[in-house]
Amino acid sequence: MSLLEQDIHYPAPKETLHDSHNGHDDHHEEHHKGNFWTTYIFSTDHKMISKQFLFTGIFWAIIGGGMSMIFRLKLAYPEANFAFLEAFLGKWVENGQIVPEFYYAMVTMHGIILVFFVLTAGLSGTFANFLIPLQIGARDMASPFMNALSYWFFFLASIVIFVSLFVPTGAASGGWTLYPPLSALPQAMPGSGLGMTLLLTGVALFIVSSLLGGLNYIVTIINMRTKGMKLMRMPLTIWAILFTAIIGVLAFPALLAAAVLLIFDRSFGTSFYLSEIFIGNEPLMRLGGSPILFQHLFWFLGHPEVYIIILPAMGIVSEVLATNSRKPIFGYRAMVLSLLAIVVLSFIVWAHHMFVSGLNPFIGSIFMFFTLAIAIPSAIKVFNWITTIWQGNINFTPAMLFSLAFVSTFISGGLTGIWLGNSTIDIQLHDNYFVVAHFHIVMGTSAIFGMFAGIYHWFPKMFGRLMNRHLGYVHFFFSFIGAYGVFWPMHYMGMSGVPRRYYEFGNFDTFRDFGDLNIFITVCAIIAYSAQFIFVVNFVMSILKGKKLTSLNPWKSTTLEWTAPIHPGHGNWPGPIPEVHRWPYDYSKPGAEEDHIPQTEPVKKHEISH
Amino acid sequence: MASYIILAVIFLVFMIVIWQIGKLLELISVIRGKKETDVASSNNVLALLFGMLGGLFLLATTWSYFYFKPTFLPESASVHGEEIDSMIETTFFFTGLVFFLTHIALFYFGFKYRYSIKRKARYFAHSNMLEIVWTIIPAIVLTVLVIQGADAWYNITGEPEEDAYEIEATAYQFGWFFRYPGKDKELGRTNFNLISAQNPVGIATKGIIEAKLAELESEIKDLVGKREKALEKEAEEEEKNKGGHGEEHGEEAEHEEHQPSTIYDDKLKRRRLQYNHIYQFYEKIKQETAETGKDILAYGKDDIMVASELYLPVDKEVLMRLRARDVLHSFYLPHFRVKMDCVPGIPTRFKFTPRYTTEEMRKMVNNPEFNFELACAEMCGKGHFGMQKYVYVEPLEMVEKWLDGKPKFAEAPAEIPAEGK
Repeated sequence: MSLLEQDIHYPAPKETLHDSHNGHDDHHEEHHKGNFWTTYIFSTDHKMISKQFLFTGIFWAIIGGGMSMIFRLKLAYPEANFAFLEAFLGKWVENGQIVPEFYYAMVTMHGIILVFFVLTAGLSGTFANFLIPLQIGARDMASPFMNALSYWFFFLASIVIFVSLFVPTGAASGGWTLYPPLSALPQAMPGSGLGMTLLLTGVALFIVSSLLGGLNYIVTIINMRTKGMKLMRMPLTIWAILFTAIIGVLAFPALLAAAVLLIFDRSFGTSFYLSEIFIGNEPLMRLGGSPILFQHLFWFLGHPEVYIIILPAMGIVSEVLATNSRKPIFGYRAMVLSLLAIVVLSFIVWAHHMFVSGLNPFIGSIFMFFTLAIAIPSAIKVFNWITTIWQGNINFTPAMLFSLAFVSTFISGGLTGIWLGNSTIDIQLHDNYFVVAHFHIVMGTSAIFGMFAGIYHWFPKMFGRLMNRHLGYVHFFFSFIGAYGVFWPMHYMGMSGVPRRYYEFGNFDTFRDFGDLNIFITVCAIIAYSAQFIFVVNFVMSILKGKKLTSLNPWKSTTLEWTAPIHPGHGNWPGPIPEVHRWPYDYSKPGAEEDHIPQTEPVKKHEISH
Repeated sequence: MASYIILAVIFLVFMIVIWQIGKLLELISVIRGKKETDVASSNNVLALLFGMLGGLFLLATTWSYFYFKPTFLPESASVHGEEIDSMIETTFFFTGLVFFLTHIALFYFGFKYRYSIKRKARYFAHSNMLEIVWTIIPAIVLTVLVIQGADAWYNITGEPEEDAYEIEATAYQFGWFFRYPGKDKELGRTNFNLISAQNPVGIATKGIIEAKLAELESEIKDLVGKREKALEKEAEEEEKNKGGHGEEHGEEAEHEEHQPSTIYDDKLKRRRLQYNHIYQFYEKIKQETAETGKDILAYGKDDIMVASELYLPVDKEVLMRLRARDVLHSFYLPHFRVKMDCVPGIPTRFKFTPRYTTEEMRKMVNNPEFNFELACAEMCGKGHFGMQKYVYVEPLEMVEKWLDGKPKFAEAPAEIPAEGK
């Protein structure tokens, strides 16, 4: 133990204080020291599992982001000679040209990896695991073992997907939405062969991981809150994570069904999604299926999935904005209710991805109504965030900057959602670059920014050290400018009708004149991607050599996790679990001595509790 | 290998340099007597940078909009496209307004309320009034958008006119076939089992169906025969094996010729399924013919198949009937604001009225080389980006004249180019 840690006095466990909430007290010290394997690898400590999710997520972000570099290069320089890539990519570069099969495999895997492995597992897995027990005052998850299983299923899924990148027929390449019949028939595209089989297996394993994790999160939050942690005293991070888990548990089974039926169609000769197909100079005698059925099942998860991605980021941002503005989050109750409204609505908007799929137009109009309705809770959240910083006393930490940037990207991307959610406009903009711009800003960039905000903010709690904040600033400005530089111009390409998932545009008079813009986008993408390595350096080096934390509560925050020791053991609090007496946003309360009152502080006699 | 190592080394050096720069900056602030978690001494600078970032962002978005506006698609070439464009304009107005107001607030507040030791943040936790205001205002705006959108949507997706000009487009990997109904104004029925190089969309006429049935029948007979032979041989072999070891050489030679009976099973099953499918299809049409008294199987005979380009009549409602042969595709005419997926097994449709001829459009956009284009908008395989066709809009008489020059299906089916290029 370092000198610094010894300086901090922990109250000794008091047997007399035991109640149902801290019955583990006398055991946890024994768990404290295990061997290397049980501490770092097969750990059941939620904090270690959270770090495992984070590291794996960062690994996938580097891979998935790197894939986008490859296809962006091709889009910007369709005529250039990429012979130098042959050393890395082998047969996928022919005569200095990236072949279409590989281009499409990259596009597809970029989507799958970023959506599921980075923004679902990396973001929600990391922060749900880390924050739930620490912020609600629990020793660990309801089932630490199930929690560990959740990570290991994710790990298994990661391996399967990683292997699928190297199979001879190439990785899956039919687009991340995996629409059959393209994804069902190996004769339609080489990537629909072994690559797709592995991808579907990986996705199925991923869903298992996600369900194991999600159930655990829900049970923990409902059952294991410390004394006094009423629901309406939970930090918004916990609310967001709770709702995320609920969405996941309800929506992922639909994707599992979609994937399993697709596996059946591919391998066992069924026809859930296939009918009247003539391919490879032969009619396929598969009758009665419907490709649109897959789309329904897929988007029944697929749309809630974007909320699975964005909700934890919203929670993190709410927390960081309040802390660094030294102000209570504005409209706590409205924030919770709007989250709830988003959860409910998220399940009845999925078909807005299918306005021009051949869907009955009447159904389309119903889905348009609900889709636009979801803009209302989203708008409430934005206005509340802005009011939170109004008349605050803002400390521009890197986490704060990323949170503010999150609000910006969520507005920019959310507003274009009002365009695309309108079935009339969607006729023109569906599957073109406008859509690419929209979802990359609203869920890609926003969620990544939320994730960075979370990492910068909770890094001291995770590793007991500080990240270098100056590198954080450099990272922020490059990321903000880079991300908008990449995705903003895509709106204009969309308004010019340019379709997405095009390998090149030379075949069309209408689309070929965006060469310069494509170069600009690619340059921005390279800058933004490279800037992420500033973060990676900062992250890795700070774990090893970062400045050691000297105070328990570096951001002067009110929530419970900052009452735990700098290096909490398995069990989080050496003494009894702290009791909670107030809501988590008592910043700058009039009459209080400090500008923040921790949740553990009892309400004073004449104090008006929130 | 050497290049990998060099790259790795460069990368590592780059990482170390970044880290050292970070350390240096940290050191400077430590010299100034700041703790890493205190409000940074550079907080004011950061606030200013943040505010400037916002200003720059709003300027850049505004400027780039006007810069790129001329590259946007020209005025809609179809009647319903007007409604889509006006929907975009309404939405653009409201979302643009919100975009500017919220962004100005976000960046200005960020800058203005930067940390000051003299000030305390205002404890402002909630206001029902404000929440109600910003629930109701978006709700009203969205209601406007939903009403306008739904109105346009029903107009666009509603029933086509009785005398709409029907054209069928069939998408395949990677191209399009267009079919015009000919003089009888009726498109012939199709069946995917009848598709062949000469009949790329599987038009069903009496002759084609019967020929196909006969072909399958003889193929099935042939397969059954082959299978039986193979079975006999297998039985013989089994006998032989039971009787002890045969001559090794002879057995090997036989083995090469030998085809296991099972390889016919699958093929036979498929052909029989195909036969039944076509047979039922034929029966159904026959029944329908008997009921309606119309010669349905003759409809296809005068259909005109074109694969090179699409001609549309101006000022006449066109009903595009859309089909896909293999995987999903999407029929996308950017200038007409038309998009609809082509789904194997499920026919879809889109109606629209072109309102400018190609000639008129060329004058409007001031480009004598301008052409309307058809693209595929649903990922369909490695050639997805190449499914381009030119689309020409002419007065109806000209379209009909152009069609007159094309052979009818029954006359010259072989003229249709076979799959792909």
